[in-house]
Amino acid sequence: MISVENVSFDYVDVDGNSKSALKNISLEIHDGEFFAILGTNGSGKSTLAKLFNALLIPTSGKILVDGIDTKLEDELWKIRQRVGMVFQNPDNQIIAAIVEDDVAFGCENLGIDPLEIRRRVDESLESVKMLEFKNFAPHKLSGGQKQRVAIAGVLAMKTRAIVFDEPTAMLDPIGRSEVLETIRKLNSQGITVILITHFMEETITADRILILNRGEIARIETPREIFSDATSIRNFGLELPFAVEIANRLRKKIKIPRNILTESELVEALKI
Amino acid sequence: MLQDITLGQFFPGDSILHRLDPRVKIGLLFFLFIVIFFTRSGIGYGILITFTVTLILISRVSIRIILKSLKPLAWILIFTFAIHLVSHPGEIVCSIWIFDITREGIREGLILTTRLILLLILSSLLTFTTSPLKLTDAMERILSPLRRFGVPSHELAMMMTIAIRFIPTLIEETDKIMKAQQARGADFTTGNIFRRLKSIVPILVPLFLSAFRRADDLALAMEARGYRGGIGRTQMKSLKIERRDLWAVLIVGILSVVVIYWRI
Amino acid sequence: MIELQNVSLIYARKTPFERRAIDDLSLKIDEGSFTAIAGHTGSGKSSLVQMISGLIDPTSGKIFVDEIDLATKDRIKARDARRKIGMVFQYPEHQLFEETVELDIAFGAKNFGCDEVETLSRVKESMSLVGLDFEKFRNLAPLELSGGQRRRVAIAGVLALKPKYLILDEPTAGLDPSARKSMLDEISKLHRKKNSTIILISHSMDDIATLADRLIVLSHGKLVGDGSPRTIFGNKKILDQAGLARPRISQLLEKIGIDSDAITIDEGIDAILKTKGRR
Repeated sequence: MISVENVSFDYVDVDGNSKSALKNISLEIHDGEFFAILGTNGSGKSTLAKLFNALLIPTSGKILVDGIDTKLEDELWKIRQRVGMVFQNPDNQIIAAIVEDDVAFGCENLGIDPLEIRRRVDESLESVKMLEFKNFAPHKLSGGQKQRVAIAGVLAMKTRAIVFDEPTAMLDPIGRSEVLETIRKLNSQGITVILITHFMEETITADRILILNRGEIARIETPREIFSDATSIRNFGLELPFAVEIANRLRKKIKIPRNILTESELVEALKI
Repeated sequence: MLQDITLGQFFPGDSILHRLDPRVKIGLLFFLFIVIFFTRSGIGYGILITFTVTLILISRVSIRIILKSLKPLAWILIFTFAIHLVSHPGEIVCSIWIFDITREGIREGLILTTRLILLLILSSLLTFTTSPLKLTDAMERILSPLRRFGVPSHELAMMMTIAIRFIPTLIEETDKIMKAQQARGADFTTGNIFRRLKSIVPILVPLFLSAFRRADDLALAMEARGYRGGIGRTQMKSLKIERRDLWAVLIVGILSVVVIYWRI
Repeated sequence: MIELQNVSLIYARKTPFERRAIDDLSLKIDEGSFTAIAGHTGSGKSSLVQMISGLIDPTSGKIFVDEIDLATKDRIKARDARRKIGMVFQYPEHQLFEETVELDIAFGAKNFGCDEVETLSRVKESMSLVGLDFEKFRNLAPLELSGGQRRRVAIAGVLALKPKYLILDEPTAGLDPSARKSMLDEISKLHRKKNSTIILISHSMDDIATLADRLIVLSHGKLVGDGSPRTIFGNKKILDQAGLARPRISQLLEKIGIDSDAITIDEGIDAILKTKGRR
C-alpha cells in the first residue's frame, strides 16, 4: 500500500548546513501488514515516519500511497485519509478540550456529515475502550488513555494505515500495554500498522522489522531473522528481546533450540 | 497556588443550564448585564439575587465553588464598597477620622458591590456550565457574519480552543519547572524587583522552549489529521435552538420587564 | 537519615477535587542506602519525593533530614537541611535554560553560594560523574546535544550541588536502549563509588531488582510494602495490592516451573542451569 522508491531526505540545520537524514531508501509496505521500525535516536526513524503521510516530502525519490505520489499537493488530503499518524507525546497531539471533540477533529476536517461523525466517534472510542471517558478533559487522563484517544481520532477518519511514532515512549508499563494491545487489535482487524519504537518486545509480533542505521536501511527481515544475529543488533545500538537474550546466555552452557523469539517458546524449551 | 484558579473552569453536568444553547446563554448574559446596570431599587436586586441563586441551584455547581471564584476579587469588591461609602455627600451616619460615612454612600456602595458580585457570579456560571469548546463554538458563530469584513472567526475560535486545551498543561509545566529550579537553589521570593525579575529567567526560558516544542508538535498533529482551516469543514456538534432555549429567553425577558418596572 | 513521621498530603483541600496524595506515611531512609520507590502513576511517588526535598509541605506530619525538621522556624537551618537533598525530576532536560552546558551546570552551585573556583571544580567533577567530557562540552549549547546528553547535563547540574541524598524520578524515561543502559550504569557507579544515598523512582522492576537494596511500594498514597526487593518480589499480596509485576526473570522461572527467589538475570540463569544440570 505504501511504496518508497530511492528516497533521500536532507534537512537544513541551525547553521544553514544541509544534512542527510535518510539515504536512498527503498521499501514496500503491504496492505494489512504489521511493519516495525527500529533504530537509535538520530537514525532517521521519525523522518521516515513523516514521509509516509506527506508531513515531509522526499528531497529525492518518491513515495506512493495507493499509487498516489505524496509530492502532489492536490492529492494531500487523499493521502491523509489513507495514512493516519499517532505521535510520541500524548499531550501534544490532543487538540480539543473534550475527548469526543478531539476524536471528531479529523472527521470534521474531512467535511463528513455531522451524524456520521457522531457515529464514527462513538465507534472509535468504543474500539479503544475509551467510550466512558468521552466527556473528559484530556488533562484528566493518564498517558495511556490520552494515546488511545489519539488513536481513536485517527480511527474515526477510517485511514487504512496508521503510523505510530514511538507511541509508548512516554508511558508507564500499564499505559504501554494498553496502547500496544490496541495497536495489535487494530492490525488484526486489517489496518496496516507501521510501528516505530525503542522497545524490542513490541516488535516481536511484527511481520517485518526495518532497522535503520544512520539514515540507511540496515536490515528488513522477520523478527526471528533480525534477532538471531545478536552481534549486529548490538552494533546498531539496539538490544535483544528478553527471551532471546536469556536463550543466548543459556545456550553457552546447555542445549537450547535455535531461533527462540518469544517467552512462551523459551518456557516450552525449558519446561520441566 | 497555581491549582487554585477556578475562574473560567468548566464543570461537566447535564442540568438545563448546561444544555442551553451557548449562543443563547451568551446573549442572555449580556442582556442581564444591561438590566443589572439599570437596576437601582432594593426589590429589583431582591429579584435578581433570587434569580441568580436559583440559577446556581439549577446548575448544581456547589456554592463553595461559586464563592471561591469570587475570592480573588474580594479585595476589589471591598475597595469599591469602601470608596463609595465615603465619597457620597449626604446624611452622615457616622464619622471615622476624616471620613464621613453617609446613608447615600452606604446605598451606592451596596448597589455597586451587588452589581459586581452578580456580574461575576453570572459570568462564572456561564463558564462553569458551558464547555470551553461550546463557548468558542458559539463565539465563532456569533462572529461569523463578520467574516465578510475580514474577521477570521474560525481561526480565532481555533486559537481559543487550543489555548483552553493547553492552559492546564502549561500550568502544570510551570509548576514543575519552578520546583526543578527551586531544587537547584533558585529563589523567586526575596530580593528587590530587579533581582526577582532576573530570577524568572530560569522559568521563562524552559517554559518558552517547551511551548514552542508543543506548538510544533501540535501543528504537525493537526496537519496529519487533515486540518486546512475552516473551509470545507463540518462540525459534529452543530448548535440548534431548542424549545428550552426559547423558554430561557422568555423567562429572562419577563424578569427584566419586572425589574425595570420596579426601577421607577 | 531521612525520616517521615505520619506524613499526609491533601491536594485541593475542601473542594470537590480534594485528593489525598499521601496518607499517613512513616518511614526512614538510611545514609548510603539505595532505595527504590515503586507504584502506579498516581500512587503518590512524585508527591512523596517532592515533600522529602522540601518543595511541597505536607498537610500534616513531620519530615526530618539528619534530625532537622524541614518545617523548623529557623530558616537557615531548614534551608541547609533541604540543600542536602538533590532532586532530579522526570525529563530533567526540560529545565535547562542557560546558553552553555557549563553555565547551566553551575547555576545551582552559584545559587548555593559557591565562589568561582569552587563552582568550576564542582562543574568539572559532576560532568565527569555523568560521563561528559568537560573541554568538549563546556561551551556547547544544551540544544545542540542529543536527548541523552541533555539529560546528563541536567543531572550534572544537580550533582554539582553535592547533595548527600540524591532523588531520581524515572531517570531513564524516553531514552533509547543504549542511552538507558549507560544511564543506569552511571547511577549505580554514583552509588558505589561516591557512596551517595540514592532514592530512585522507577517503573522497571528489572532495574529495581538489579540496583536497589530496598524497595518501598506505594498504592493510593499508602505505604503497602517496605523491604529488600527480594522480599517484596516474593510477596504476592503486596504486588497484587499495588498492581505491580515481578521482574521478568522471576516470571519466566515461575512459568518454567522452577521454584527460586531469583530476581536478577544472573541469578535466574544460575537457577535454570542448576535445575537443568541436575537432570
